[in-house]
Amino acid sequence: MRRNKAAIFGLAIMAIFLGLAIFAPVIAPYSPDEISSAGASPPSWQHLFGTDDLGRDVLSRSLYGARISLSVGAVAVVIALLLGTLAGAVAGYYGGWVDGSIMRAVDVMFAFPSIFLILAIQAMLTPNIYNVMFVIGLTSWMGVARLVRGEFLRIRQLQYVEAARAIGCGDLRIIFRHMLPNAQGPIIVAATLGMAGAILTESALSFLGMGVQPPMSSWGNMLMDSQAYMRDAPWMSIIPGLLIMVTVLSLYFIGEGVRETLSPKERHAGS
Amino acid sequence: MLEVRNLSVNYYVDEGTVNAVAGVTFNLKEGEILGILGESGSGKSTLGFALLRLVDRPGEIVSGEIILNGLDILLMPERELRRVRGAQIAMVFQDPFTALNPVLTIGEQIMEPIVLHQGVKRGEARAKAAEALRAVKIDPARIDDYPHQFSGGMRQRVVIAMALACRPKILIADEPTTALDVTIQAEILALLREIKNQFNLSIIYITHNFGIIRQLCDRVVVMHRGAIVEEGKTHLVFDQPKEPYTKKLVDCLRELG
Ligand SMILES: Nc1ncnc2c1ncn2[C@@H]1O[C@H](COP(=O)(O)OP(=O)(O)O)[C@@H](O)[C@H]1O
Ligand SMILES: [Mg+2]
Repeated sequence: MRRNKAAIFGLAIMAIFLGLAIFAPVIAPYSPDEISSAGASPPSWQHLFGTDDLGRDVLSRSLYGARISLSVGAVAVVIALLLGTLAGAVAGYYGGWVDGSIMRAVDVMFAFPSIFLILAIQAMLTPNIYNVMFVIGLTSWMGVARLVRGEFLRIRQLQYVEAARAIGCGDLRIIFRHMLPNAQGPIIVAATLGMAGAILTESALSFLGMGVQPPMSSWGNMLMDSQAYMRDAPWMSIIPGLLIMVTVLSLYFIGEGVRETLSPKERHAGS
Repeated sequence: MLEVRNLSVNYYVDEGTVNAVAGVTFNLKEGEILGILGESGSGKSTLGFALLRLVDRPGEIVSGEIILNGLDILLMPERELRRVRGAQIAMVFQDPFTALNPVLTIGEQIMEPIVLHQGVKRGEARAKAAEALRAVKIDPARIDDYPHQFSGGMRQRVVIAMALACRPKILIADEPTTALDVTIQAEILALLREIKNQFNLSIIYITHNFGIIRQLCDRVVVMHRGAIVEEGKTHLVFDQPKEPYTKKLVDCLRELG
């Protein structure tokens, strides 16, 4: 119950952030690149969140940054979900050597600390927003694959799968129509947690200068820009830091809430 | 109608090879209810699955023939096999609580074999699904309900409706009443008898319960450790069992009253 309240809170925060991101051009008091004050100035009525070292409005840059950070997170997680679900479903459904080789690949990918893998790939590509999305997606599908495989191994034992085969369904129909919808709960949980992870990774990448490139703003590269001004202009780091933290926590709350609501029902349907 | 010759199925498990079905030969005659009787673990379910080539890892059908309309099911290409499953031979399962997909309505599930095999439009498939529901005495108004809205006995009726949807000639029922309580069990048995006549079915009824075999089946084959030890008209097998194993089963039943 308490988890559910947290989840609704998280959902509300995410809805608000999404709205702010979508309507950024309407809401933002300044253009994100506009130099509207001489150097860093603290929060004031003209600049609610202050301005950065170049005199750009932090509120406006945060709103536009939300668009970038949230869409990087969303696209990366969609890529990870597609890859992970496909790999996990095929592994869990077919088993045997198919399962063995897919899971071996997962283990190998997991063995590399993903940030190094991402940095290595990013070093070879031009660091633009699309590459950031793809690279994060391509390096974060393994958890989803393991999860979906586990679900498929469990669901495969249930009689309705046997029943589907007995009425003449083919493999694809069984996988996509009969099994996947029954695995959707854990996949939704993985999606919310994965999006939180992707937003953090984008921040880390941008912080290292390998992510979203200026003048485009993301919460991560705003944080990077603030490094040198931590003491003199703390609002420059506090604002994007808080935004990242609140977003990640909200997504975690949503994920945990979904997990909680699903588990009793799943036990009911699964035994 | 269906001829099974020398069918063998193995499971390859860590402890070695389990010969779950060991050279089974029998036939199913048109219009009869054939009982397959045997204690738990004697290979009945494996046999039932093997008839539709549904045996799955770690099991494997190692030899035999299953002749339907002159064709060997074991030699059919996958596509052809899928046209037999659900259309000519259908199955009813033991556990009505997991035999239905919880995320699909019962209507969608009954329509599925119709859409798969008859390629009809959704509207027509839906009408046929409603008809199948009527045949198993479920109010067709409930066609859009989900499985969890039904009791165990009602769910088993839905499973039977799904099996009947394409008007198969043969129905394999693997302990369809074992998970249900006694009154519901009697209802399902009565329903099976009724649909058998109505749809001109031949039924293979798998159970460990000699009592049910006596009520329902014309003939019975008795399985023990994967092999058929005795076969014959139900009343003959029951009155004068030849094999000691069958005698034991009969004595058991007599003791229970
Ligand atoms: N999936 C399986 N893996 C390994 N062994 C199995 C499997 N299914 C059945 N068996 C074995 O095959 C034998 C026959 O089982 P089964 O066909 O389920 O018998 P019944 O339906 O008569 O109870 C048993 O010894 C059982 O342990
Ligand atoms: Mg069985």
